[in-house]
Amino acid sequence: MNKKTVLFFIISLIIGVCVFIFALTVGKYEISMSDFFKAVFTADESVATQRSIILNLRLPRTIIAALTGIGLSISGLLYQEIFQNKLVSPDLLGVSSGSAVGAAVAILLGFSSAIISLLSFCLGIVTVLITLILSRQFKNGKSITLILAGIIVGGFMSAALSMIKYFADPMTTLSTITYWLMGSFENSIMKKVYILLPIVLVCCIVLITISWRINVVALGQEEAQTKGINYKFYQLLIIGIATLLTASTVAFSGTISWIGLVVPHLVRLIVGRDTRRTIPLCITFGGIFMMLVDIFSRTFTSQELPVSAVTGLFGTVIFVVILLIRRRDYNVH
Amino acid sequence: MRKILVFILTIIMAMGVCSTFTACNSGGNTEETVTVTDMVGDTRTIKKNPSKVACSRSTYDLLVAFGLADKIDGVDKKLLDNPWTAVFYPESVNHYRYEYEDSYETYLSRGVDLVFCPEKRIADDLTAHGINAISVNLYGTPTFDHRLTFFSELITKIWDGDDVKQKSDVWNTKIRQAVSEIQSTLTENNVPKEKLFYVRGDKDKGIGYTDTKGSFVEYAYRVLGFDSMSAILETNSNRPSAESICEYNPDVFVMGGIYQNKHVTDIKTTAPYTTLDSVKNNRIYTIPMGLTQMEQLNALSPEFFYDQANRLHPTLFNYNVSGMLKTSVKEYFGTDLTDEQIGYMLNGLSPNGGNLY
Repeated sequence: MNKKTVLFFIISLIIGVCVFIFALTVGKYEISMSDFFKAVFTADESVATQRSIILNLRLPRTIIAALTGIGLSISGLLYQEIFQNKLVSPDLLGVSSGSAVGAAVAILLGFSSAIISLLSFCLGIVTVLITLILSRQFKNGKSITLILAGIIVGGFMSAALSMIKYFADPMTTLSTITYWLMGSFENSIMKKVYILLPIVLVCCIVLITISWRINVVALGQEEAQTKGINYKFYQLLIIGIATLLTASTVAFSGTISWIGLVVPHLVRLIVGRDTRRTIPLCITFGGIFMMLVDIFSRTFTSQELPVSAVTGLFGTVIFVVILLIRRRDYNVH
Repeated sequence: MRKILVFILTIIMAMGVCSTFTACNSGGNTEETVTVTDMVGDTRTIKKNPSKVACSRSTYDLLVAFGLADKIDGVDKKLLDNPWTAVFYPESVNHYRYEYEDSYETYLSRGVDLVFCPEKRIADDLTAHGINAISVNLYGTPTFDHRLTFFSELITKIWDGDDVKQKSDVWNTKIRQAVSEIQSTLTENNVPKEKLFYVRGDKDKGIGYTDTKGSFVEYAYRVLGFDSMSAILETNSNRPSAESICEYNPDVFVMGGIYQNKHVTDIKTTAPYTTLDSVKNNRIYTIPMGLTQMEQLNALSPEFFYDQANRLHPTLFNYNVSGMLKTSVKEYFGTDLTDEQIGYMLNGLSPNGGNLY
């Protein structure tokens, strides 16, 4: 990492910690700073409700939001690098569509939220496996066949989701499926944190460790092989990690759009394309972005706003700003 | 050539004769119509005294109670899935099971005269396809205050029989009397207003699922001397967050619907609700179940008011709700309920004492 990256990483880390603490202090339930400190650092019974709100509602959802932001941002970055396409999102190989089908089936069958998450995760992974198997049938080893297979399988899963929604009861399950698809951190609990945290942590450590190899794999098969890199293995490993991150975050928070597209672009704008620099910044920027989105979605109305709607609103505006900043680059090319 | 001309002339004459007959028939088949304003404010002209009606969930029991069961072709299947429906009105098993939003062809093939729709969108859609349809949406804008007897009166405009009119009048008087009695007692005793949160339990959507502003529930609990959180929510908002509910800090929680008993257990074990005084002091109440959940306007709404008055203000009211329910169910549906069944109703359980979900 160069000095600029280190500087941005440290600044964004400090901002991230501040946003995290801020997220614990704000919400529909007004908690004064004195009550906040009393609730967190003492066992005073007079602030039992405040303590419960901070520890049981705000803490798990803020951690889940940060982890989701990290997961989706990194996953978007990885897909964009591997497929050498800056407009690729984490849903490229159909993982979100598959997860959505899994969740919708579980909701339709009346399963608990734990089973909804499990089925969503499993079907997200299975969908990507189907995409990989389908792409193998073309036998040309090119990235474009993988993208095409992803579009086909993703399209199939979207159609399946439409069928499930059609058969869902409009008064009960349909609205639940619709809400799930819009994304929410409302049902976050510490148990989910204990599952998601190790997944994201391990994935981040592995990615930072192999980040220079990702740079080489991003150059294409021929370049990678001349540098002695096992292209196929690393391509599969990176896709596997990106899929794991997307499927696990979607399973707990529903489908959340734009973040996987916007954050990697924002980070590249600051430190360039080198993944040794972009991955650490995607971690801090992704976490901050999603924590801010969560604060916005739960603070201003009595009923929470869907996360995907808020990421869409912010994401599109940020994306336009990025494009305006980089228009000179695009004009040159 | 001549043969062709004769053939064409014959065809034209035959068509002319057919057209004349058709015109005569349609002219002679004038059916009596009535123009009504439905519950969303749309004016619709429909056939008077329809003999084959498709019902939404909220319209079925009042039609049966007013002696119009023989005019009902079918009802939303969810209502027929409620085990209490067959207990209250055993003949309900003969009614057709409609979907919440069924196809035009289903209504046309069954030859219904009128469809009571739960949403304006559905009613508009059916009307555009030539099917008589009106909206019966049990919500008021901005409040339900003037809607209490709206559907009951609407029924008498559509069916003009004396018997229907008399039954409607009796029911209207009964519900107005219930409201008036409770309000006067509360005023006389200067009962301070408390804050209430209603948990809507027709679906398992957790503690934070409630009814919207303008609902019958919001009106009912205002009558019963409470400020309901539904009244301060944004329009169409019915899922306030746990933080919003804690911020509102209700003095009382009321659980309704088929999931009510599950929600009572949930609220007593789920943080941060467990820290609220209302939960600590066990000020959690439930609503009886019937052919429909009783916190929605239905034939037994007067009894709903009396029951909730008993539960929420036990020092002021002591109505014999069990007796009232027995009498009303017998009067409206012709069924004698046992004491055990009444007990299950009051506890939000199924006719055999199990959970309804």
